[in-house]
Amino acid sequence: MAVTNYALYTGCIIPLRYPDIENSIRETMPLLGANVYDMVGAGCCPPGGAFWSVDEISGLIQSARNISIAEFMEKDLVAVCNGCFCYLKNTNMMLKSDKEKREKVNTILNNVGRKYQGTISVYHLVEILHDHIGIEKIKNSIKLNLDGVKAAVHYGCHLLRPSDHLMAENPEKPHKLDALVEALGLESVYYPKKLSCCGAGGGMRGNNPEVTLKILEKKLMNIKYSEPDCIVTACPFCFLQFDLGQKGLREKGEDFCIPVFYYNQLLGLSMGLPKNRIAVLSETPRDGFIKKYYGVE
Amino acid sequence: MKIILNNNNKELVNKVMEYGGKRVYECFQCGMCASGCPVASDTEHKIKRTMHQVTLGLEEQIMDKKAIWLCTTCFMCLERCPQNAEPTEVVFALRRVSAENGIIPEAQIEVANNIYHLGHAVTVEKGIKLRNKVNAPLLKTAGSDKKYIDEIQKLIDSTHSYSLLRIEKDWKPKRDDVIGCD
Amino acid sequence: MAKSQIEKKELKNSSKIGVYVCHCGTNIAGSVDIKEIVNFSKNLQNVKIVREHMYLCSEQGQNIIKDDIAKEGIDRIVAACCSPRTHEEIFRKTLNSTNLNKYLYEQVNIRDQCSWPHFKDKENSTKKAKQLVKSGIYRASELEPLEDRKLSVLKSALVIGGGISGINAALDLARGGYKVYIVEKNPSIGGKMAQLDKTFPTNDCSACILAPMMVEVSNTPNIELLTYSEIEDVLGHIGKYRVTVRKKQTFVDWKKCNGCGECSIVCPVKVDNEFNCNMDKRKAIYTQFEQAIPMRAVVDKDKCVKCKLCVKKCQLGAIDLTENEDEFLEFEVGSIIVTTGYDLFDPNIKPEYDYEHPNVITSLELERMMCASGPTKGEILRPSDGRKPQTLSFVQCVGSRDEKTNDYCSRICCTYSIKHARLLKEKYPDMDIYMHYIDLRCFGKGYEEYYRMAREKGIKFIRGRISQVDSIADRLEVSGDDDTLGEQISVIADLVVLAVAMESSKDAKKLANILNISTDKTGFFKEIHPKLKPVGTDSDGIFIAGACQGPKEIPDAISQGKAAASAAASLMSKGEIEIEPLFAQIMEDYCAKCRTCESLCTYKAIKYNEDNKMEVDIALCKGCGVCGASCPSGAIKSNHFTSKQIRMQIMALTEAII
Ligand SMILES: Cc1cc2nc3c(=O)[nH]c(=O)nc-3n(C[C@H](O)[C@H](O)[C@H](O)COP(=O)(O)OP(=O)(O)OC[C@H]3O[C@@H](n4cnc5c(N)ncnc54)[C@H](O)[C@@H]3O)c2cc1C
Ligand code: SF4
Ligand code: SF4
Repeated sequence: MAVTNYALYTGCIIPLRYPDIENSIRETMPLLGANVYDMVGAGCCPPGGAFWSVDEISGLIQSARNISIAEFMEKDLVAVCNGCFCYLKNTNMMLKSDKEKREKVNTILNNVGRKYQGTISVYHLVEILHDHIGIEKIKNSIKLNLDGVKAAVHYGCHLLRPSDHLMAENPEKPHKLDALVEALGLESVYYPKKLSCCGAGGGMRGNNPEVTLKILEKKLMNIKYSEPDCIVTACPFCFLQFDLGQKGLREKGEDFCIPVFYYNQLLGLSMGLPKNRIAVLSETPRDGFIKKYYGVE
Repeated sequence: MKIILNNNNKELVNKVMEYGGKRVYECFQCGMCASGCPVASDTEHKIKRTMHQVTLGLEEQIMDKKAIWLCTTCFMCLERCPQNAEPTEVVFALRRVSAENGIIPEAQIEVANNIYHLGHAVTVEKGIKLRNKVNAPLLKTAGSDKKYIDEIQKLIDSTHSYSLLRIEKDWKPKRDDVIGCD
Repeated sequence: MAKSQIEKKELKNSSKIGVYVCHCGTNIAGSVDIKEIVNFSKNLQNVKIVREHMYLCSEQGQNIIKDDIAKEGIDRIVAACCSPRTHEEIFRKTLNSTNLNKYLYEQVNIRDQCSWPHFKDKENSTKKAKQLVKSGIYRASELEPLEDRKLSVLKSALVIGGGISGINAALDLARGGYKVYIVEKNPSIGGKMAQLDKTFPTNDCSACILAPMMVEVSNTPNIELLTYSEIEDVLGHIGKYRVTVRKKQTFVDWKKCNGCGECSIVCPVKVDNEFNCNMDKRKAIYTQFEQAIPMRAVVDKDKCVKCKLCVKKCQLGAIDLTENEDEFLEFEVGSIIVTTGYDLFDPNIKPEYDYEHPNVITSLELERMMCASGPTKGEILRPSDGRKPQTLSFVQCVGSRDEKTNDYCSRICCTYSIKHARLLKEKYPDMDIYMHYIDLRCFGKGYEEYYRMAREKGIKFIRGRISQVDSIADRLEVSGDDDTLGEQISVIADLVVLAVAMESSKDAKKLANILNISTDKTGFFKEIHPKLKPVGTDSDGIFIAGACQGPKEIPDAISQGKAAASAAASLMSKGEIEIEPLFAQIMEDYCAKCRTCESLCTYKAIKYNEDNKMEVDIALCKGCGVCGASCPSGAIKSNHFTSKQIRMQIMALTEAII
């Protein structure tokens, strides 16, 4: 099996709030021939809502620092969060083409002994799985087929948009995550406004707990329309919004009770990896789902 | 309230263009942005109106309601705008103007301080506990070592964001929640 | 019972009628029961064949008719379908290709008269269709074969109005070898385009692209240019019109005058200059503008004080101030193209916009100001104090889309205002420019892009119609509404430009009467069919083009000018045309020479001739039937609408349908 190596950029939420997702990534990817290596010292991407929102250059510098770590490792960077992907890829695109900005950024990076060179590419995990590894290989790697189980796929904004920078998917008719989900035997169901926002981003979750839940509620209403057995996403922040948000809504008397998975958690379970390392942490119960379909406690 | 336009106020639009909203003039008020905006119906953030207000130079009206901070930066408007007026970029630019004027929501300040002091947007301590719980490998990211945090601090120190985001020297994280400013 | 038997006998027993019912997709079949029509028709007298078809006008449909004529011996055709106005020609041509005379065809319009108006009531719509089909069948039994007549056509044309549309029509015809007369009421040709500065969508200089065409007109030998002239009378008919033109007295011998302009310099009388929208003065003796064609002087008869300074000054001895009668010219042409253009809405009719204020101007006034040869030499200055305005507001739809003035859209004002705003912004980047609109209709090729560039230049577009303009100190308050903000908005402006609507020209009605063509409710000349015959009129040899037909911009005015030229040329090229024989015929033996018909004929087609007989001029006769109906002796037969044919129709229509 051909083996490819990537620099794994974990961001903040996965390593510090959902380390079981991190485990699921670390354990599934090598089985598919994609080795992932730690980016030692990598910081926050940083987020669009804070640094980018006040000063472009401070966003660029921190992103560039992260990219420079992967450059030092001489490996393409794989982001496992939509937000990280969006801002890192955006930075990479911008600095590759805009010499003036690149020089400005490097003058500052130089103070901490780093340099942005523009030598690597930034990918989303979905791209690696779909484009580099391929659906066939994934199909062949699983032990259990979840035939007939319905999944509502949520792409999340920053995997798709702005498409002319990210170029990861067709922004109006994405298919990669659906295909990946279907490779596990699940049926990816249609639901209205599939591409719309979960309501977490831009500082919304932090600043406006009320509004963030309202937007999520609408999203969940649409999802509920097709009565899925679970929600699948490949972004920890969207995951968090669905997971914690459903709890928030439950407290307000609105119980959707739809299990949420990060893609690699489902993948890992289908490969037969132990649940207690890869799918433990969640506020919206999913043990029932796992027991019912994977037969594990 | 009646609006009186009696001087050619280009200050705002020039700033917005300088700060990244380069294509704000392309907007022809079709409303496609607002019609797909996830927050439009629940908040005062009306992106089409904001685009128009920028061209008319109505800075006070825009800043007054702080509505630009309600954008989730989902980029739906930017993706679909038929004139490529890049409304999300205009929102970013307006936030930059707003920050310069000292108007910036608490969450943004919290997240920034977390990043400055912890290397991450969320608290690390709680993270390590969770990692142990699921048998995750040793943390190697910025939050694992003071030397990386120093690096990040140095970088932030040399930009405007240090003062704009009101970085505090003595910072105690306020909550373990994920604040999230993606 | 007895009565209807007598009537039945009247039906010719010999004819074999084929009836064809068309579905027209769902256009007809949607609300007329086709099967029922078919079954009903089958039982009518003389009907041999009844068929239905999805699209009867298709080649397949027409072939069925041909086959029936050839194989079944059908000798009368009744088609129950759509409008004869658009489709009769197709069927007649099909008949022509067989050995059946093309006038043995009857078309019943069960679409416009049944399915469309009664689309909610299929039962009654079907009932009505049956009745109409029956009347068509009865009439068909009485149809007679007729032969088309040939009429000779003169190979010369008259173009009335020398604007851009007329110029193009004239040049195209002249290039094709036809003799063309251009009659223009002003001293020079060029029309409104000569007054424009630059032109959208390319912003090229109006004079620069217009002048070469004007020069070509004056250099083309087979164009006879009659400016400062008006149409006095037009008689005759398609192929041969007799035209009388009044040449207004110029007091200058144009054969001698070389347009040097010395006379104007010495003339002491200053007169408002219409060409510059009265924003500056011309002299009582003047040439219309710098690039005038012909470049000749005229004397403003009403303003001249007869001081004769000009007479003395003119070295060529071209000026003679003695008043004479206007000169009349007569000539004959085969066809006529009307291109008399438009006038602009008078903003005084909407006093809320305070046009009386010196700093409230119209778009054409602005256009003249912007023009380097205009009253301000291209500078934009406030008329009140000659200062450069800082803030400028464009008020759209003045006199258009307004039931109180003109309810139509003037089509081009959006784009011309955008042009003005853009040109101003290019010249004065600091100028603050607002455009108050209700919809921006930038419909032409390249116009949307043109509008986008205006936004890029920082022109502010505010949706909402302006309610009023007030003067506040030395500025103007433009009170509007901002649709996006949902708030009232006021712009404090230094100059307000009213985008006034294009209207039909003031004397359009008069000309319409002379030419016997129609105007529509807006006063513009009416085309015979809004889609299919955009430049035709209800007089066959007369065409309309350009802004006299409706508001339009230069590219469209030119296209129509060229379209009219091609229509006229195709009419004239063979030297003769075939006309329908649908005219009145006098039955000599019955005529008592009472001459009632002569006095009633609107088209002056019946005359008492030298041989003491009533004679019908078949070229003039429209077959309207007034003469036939009024003739006390029953001596007039209207071809194709004979009394018998009509009686049969009435009979069918009044008989109850079971
Ligand atoms: C402010 C303004 C700006 C414009 N800018 C543009 C532009 O940038 N681009 C563009 O494409 N279009 C523009 N237009 C439109 C343009 O002026 C018209 O499309 C064009 O002039 C129409 O040409 P026409 O030949 O049909 O009519 P006209 O230009 O009106 O010409 C008609 C001619 O007929 C003559 N005439 C009238 N009545 C009689 C009569 N009874 N007997 C003899 N002669 C008669 C008139 O004297 C005139 O010479 C603008 C219009 C306005 C008002
Ligand atoms: S979609 Fe674009 S053009 Fe339309 S209103 Fe929004 S920003 Fe303006
Ligand atoms: S990016 Fe912001 S303004 Fe645009 S659609 Fe998303 S939330 Fe609305």
